[in-house]
Amino acid sequence: MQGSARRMAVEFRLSLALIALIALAPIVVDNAYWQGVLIVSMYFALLAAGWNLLAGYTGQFSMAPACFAMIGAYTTGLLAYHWSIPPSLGIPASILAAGAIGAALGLIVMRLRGPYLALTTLSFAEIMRLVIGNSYGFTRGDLGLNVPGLFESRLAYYYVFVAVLAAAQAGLYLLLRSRAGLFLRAIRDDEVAAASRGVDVVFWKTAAFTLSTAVSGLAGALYAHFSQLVSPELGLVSQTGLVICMAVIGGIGGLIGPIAGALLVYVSSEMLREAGGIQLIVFALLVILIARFFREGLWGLARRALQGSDAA
Amino acid sequence: MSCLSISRVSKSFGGLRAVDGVSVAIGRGELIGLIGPNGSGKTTLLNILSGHQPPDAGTVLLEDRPIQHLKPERIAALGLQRMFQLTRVFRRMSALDNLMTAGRALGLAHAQALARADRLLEQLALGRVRDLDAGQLSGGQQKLLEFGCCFMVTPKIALLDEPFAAVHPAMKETMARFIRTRHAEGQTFLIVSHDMPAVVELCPRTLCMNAGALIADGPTRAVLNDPVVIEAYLGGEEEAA
Repeated sequence: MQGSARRMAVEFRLSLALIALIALAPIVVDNAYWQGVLIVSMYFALLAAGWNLLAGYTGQFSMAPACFAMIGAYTTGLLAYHWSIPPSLGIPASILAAGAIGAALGLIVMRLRGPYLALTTLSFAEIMRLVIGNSYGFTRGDLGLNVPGLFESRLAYYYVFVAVLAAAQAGLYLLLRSRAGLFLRAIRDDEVAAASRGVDVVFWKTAAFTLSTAVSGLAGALYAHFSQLVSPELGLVSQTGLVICMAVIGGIGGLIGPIAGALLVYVSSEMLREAGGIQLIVFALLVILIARFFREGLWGLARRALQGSDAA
Repeated sequence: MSCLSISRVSKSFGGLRAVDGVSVAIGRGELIGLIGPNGSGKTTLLNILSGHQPPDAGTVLLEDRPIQHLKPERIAALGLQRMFQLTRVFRRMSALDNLMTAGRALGLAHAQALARADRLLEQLALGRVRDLDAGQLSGGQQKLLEFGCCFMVTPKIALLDEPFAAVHPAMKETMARFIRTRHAEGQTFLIVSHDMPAVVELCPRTLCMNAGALIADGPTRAVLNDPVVIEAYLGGEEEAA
């Protein structure tokens, strides 16, 4: 097996091991509150993994992952609220709606680069949040929308999230090992060179954006049925900021970093909750330090340490 | 039928006429050098041919097919491959994956691309760095890697922009040997270079550009001895003197 494929396979196995640890956590964590914290961590892990496909593997900086989670959450929520559509249809509809809106937006914004892409997706996210918040007659606006639950048991939700996270990781791994993965990484490194080698840059960037938004839509739909209430706050820019913090702290451009980052940031944020707003300061400092000194994030640091100990 | 036919191609940037009504026909199997002082429009002409800059006027035919308004990936798929003056490789991908990207993008199946990539790595003496990230390779190795990417699928024409610049003599010889072998097999090349000995040794025919215009086209030694070409290269110095 060649070098990069071997590295990816190791990261995939380690990420599955981490998900297996999460799956075993309820043996120790029998408190419903902390199980809820882990469920929300997995929601964020899905968002961070989807964002990482775009930013880490394709080099496109979107500011809209939370917005597409909100779109997914409202799709299944509105279908259930207005037309009594069951979640078994509502959740796939959420994936399709987020993916279709993502594809339409991607066709426009994936011709842009750098700050223009970030600003355009940020504007789109804010417009969507304001439209949903102000469409009181249809969405109940800032009052929020009640969404039916899926299960009585919190553990059932827990294992649905574990299964979806594992499936998403497997899907990402297979994608990255395919020729699409080669093209996405080539685009990340040098769009001009990729086009010169014959890669249809706009098509593949749009495909990555669509997939990333579909994953966000799925995460949002599951979260809606778990929390049984969705509001425009789900799409706040601060939520997108949290997703980016998680991916950067864990390590972008790898399979394990976003999941580890989501767990670390969300669980420690809950632990620091009683200390008021201090968690925001801590994470902001961490992001600045990591972006400045450890571009590969905590997972990159751990990998280097492991390689160093192997060499020794 | 020419392999590449360039007809009255022009390109301006503001008031600067970078390419000025250039017309050239390149036959199949030709190995042509393109020389000229810095700023004479060579790279701009290559950018137009590979689709990175649209021309203001003129046509470019690749085997009778107009390509002057096609996107770079479409032109690459039609069989025009190029190498850049400033090396462009995928720095965070292995040398093998750089080649695999080129092969897979042009329609090769995985096994076929892998076999061709491994053969190219051996031919270009890059076998030892196969699994290293391209960013970790030396400047010369990166040039060789980018050069190799042009040949994952045999192109109709390969445009090489300064392939020998800042390359170790051993690597330069590896590249020159590869070019000679492929040329003998019928491969068409257009090589932009300031390395006159290499141009003399490799290219039977040479074009010379100055101030955006084509000022000479003919057998290499005749072009290099052409007073107009000598004036173009030395004129600035004479004026300065």
